[in-house]
Amino acid sequence: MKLIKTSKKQVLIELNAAEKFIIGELLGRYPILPPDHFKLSKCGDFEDMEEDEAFLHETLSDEQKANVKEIQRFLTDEKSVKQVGDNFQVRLKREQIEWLLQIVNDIRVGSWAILGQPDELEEVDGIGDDPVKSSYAFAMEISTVVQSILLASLER
Amino acid sequence: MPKVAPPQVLPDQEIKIQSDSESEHDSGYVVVCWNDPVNLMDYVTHVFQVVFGWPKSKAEKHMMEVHDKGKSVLVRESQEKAEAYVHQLHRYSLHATMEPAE
Repeated sequence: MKLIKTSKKQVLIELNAAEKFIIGELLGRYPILPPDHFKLSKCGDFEDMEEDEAFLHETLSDEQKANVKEIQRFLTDEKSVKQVGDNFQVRLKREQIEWLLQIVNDIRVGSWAILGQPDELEEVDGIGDDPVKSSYAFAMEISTVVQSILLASLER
Repeated sequence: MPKVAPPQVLPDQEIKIQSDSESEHDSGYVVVCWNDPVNLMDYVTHVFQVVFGWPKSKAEKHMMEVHDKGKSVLVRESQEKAEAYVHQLHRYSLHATMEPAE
């Protein structure tokens, strides 16, 4: 997975077939974090807080549903993901990078939450033997790579 | 989208007789970002730049405060604006809350 070209409007990233498969599998995990994962406040004693929090969670839930459809559209759109020889070129507009950063971080933070919010992955019991736990750890690692490349593309 | 209350215009007389609990809200709300061991430092800096429109130096300063001190107060705003910021930060899966300003 490498960054080929950046401009003010878009970036071009190249993937081989295995990387494309892994990215597809990764994005297919979205959403992992439930909409009510985060609370609006820690103190929780201001007017209308419960109502406002429920409203925000409902909004996040609607956004997640829309994102799932958008991920499917993105992965099957030949303008976004184009085969060039044995590899694939992914064309992302600047606003799509921002969107993809949010998607990938949901997967990264959600996987971490499922693993028990460890400080280090090595702390997770049986992580080397449990295929489910290993898959969440792998998702976290792949998310890190994707995030780093997307952030680097914005720096250029 | 966050709920936005309609603008309220109160006569001067009513403002003078408002209760202590109501006047607490005059000081507004602070948006706080809390530390976690999962989010990448560059990612948090980027999110602060995008959400608050800050230059990189200011975003990095707050990111480091979150990292070193466990939290950073990002902005002080009205309830509606604070909710909108918290919602944006949650979209990026950052642990953020709003608290009444002291």
